[in-house]
Amino acid sequence: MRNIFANFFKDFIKNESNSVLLLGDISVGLFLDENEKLIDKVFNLGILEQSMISFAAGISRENIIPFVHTISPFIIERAFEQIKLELSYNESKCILVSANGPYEYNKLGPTHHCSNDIPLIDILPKVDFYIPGRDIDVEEALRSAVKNKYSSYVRLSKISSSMNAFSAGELVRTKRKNSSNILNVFVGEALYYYQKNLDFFDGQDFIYIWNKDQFDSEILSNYKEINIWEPYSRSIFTGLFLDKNKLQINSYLYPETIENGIFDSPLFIKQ
Amino acid sequence: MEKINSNGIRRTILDLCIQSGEGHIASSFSIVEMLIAIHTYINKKNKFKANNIILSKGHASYAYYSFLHYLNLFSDKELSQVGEIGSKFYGHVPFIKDDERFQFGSGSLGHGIPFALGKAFAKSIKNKSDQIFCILGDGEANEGTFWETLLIAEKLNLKNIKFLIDCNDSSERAIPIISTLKKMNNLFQNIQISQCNGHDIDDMVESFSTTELCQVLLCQTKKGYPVKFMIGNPMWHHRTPNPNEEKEILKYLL
Repeated sequence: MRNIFANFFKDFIKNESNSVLLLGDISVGLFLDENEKLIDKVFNLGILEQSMISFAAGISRENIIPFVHTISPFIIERAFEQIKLELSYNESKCILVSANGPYEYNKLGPTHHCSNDIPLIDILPKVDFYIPGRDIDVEEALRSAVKNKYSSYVRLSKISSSMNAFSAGELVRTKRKNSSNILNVFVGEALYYYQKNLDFFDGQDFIYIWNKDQFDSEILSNYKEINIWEPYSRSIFTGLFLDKNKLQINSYLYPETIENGIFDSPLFIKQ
Repeated sequence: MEKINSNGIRRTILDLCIQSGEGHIASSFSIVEMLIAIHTYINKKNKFKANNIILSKGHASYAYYSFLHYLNLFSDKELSQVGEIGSKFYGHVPFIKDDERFQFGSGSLGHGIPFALGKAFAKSIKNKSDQIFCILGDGEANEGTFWETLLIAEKLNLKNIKFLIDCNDSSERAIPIISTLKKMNNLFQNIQISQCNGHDIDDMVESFSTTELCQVLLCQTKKGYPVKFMIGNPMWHHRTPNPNEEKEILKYLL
């Protein structure tokens, strides 16, 4: 997904001169020219995430769209107050792009986990998030972020599903005759784990989404049980189903327990 | 142009504090001449634009409101709303959408410094001649974002920004930093560090003209100046004067 982002940005600045990309000393190799120098509009600011967010917000105030790119715990958790005040309160439009999902550096230990990035962004007004779970969704997620009036967090991941036959938000019905009355909602990279465990979900319909707006809650009325699979530590759908209490709603978070997820990678990742 | 009366602005600050029962009076008194110096300097060359000033030490907002009022950029009605419940004109500088005077809401320290540099960077990309001025406190220079911002400024070699540090010694009891700031002279190639009297408008305006580089100006001030019993007394950091104190303060603001 990082390569797709790099190609997107290079294309984007051909037509949109009012944009810059700030790197936290990551993905630098993707933005070098033939002389090993960073291409125009790309600046490697190094390891200073808090200032990088505020700096980007200042750029944004002059009607330039700044992208900020680094590892997810550093861009979201370390710089969270800057995101809260500069992007949300001060309404500076910036596009934050992570280099990874929550457990992709799991062999490096808990400092590089980020199972709380989406819940943290979700509590802020005027900052949206996009969690593509397939390579084919990355460009559209970035374009959505550009079109968005406010700031966005685009979470890229190495974990990507190759199930490309359906659109985000489309109800995919089982082809089996004895289908169950269960609907699964796969958010972002959860689709990858569905693909790896097709037998487990045999006979169950599903929807895949990478943004909250893609979910049509009317579909729920046809089912008795809804299983939501989310790749972060607190459900963003909390409260969404309050008027649907006749349904059984199960939320399966990655990880199963918050304590486990913050400091240890979940078992399914280890396997 | 008529010289701006700094004590006139201070009298407005005093009124605001008493009217609202809020405000950081001593911190606001501290920066009055800095605001005037910036206005004087810009006015020599270009039209003054309030949104080119980032007040990173947002708790001095009453100085900013009073300064704008003096320039007829903040109405009597707005002045009467300062500190009211439900008013946007808080005890810290607010963000107000589409209002050119309030394009950066501050309060949590260390945020305005890199924000101001980002604005300066964007101005340079767009080849605009505006200069950005950022006012911060000396205690605020404890924040990592201050040092990070200097590293970015050094790398990008931006020439259109000046950081005015209100060196009123208020935070020395916690982390002594003034002496460290004074030793920064030879740390950077693309940043000029200099000192001046933060209550002397002419001295500051002259200092602004001494370099084409990004500038960090250590403005020596007294917190609560010119009120003798307020200077150096931490009690006045966030205190509303009572009627007797008001009378005593006014004696210094003639």
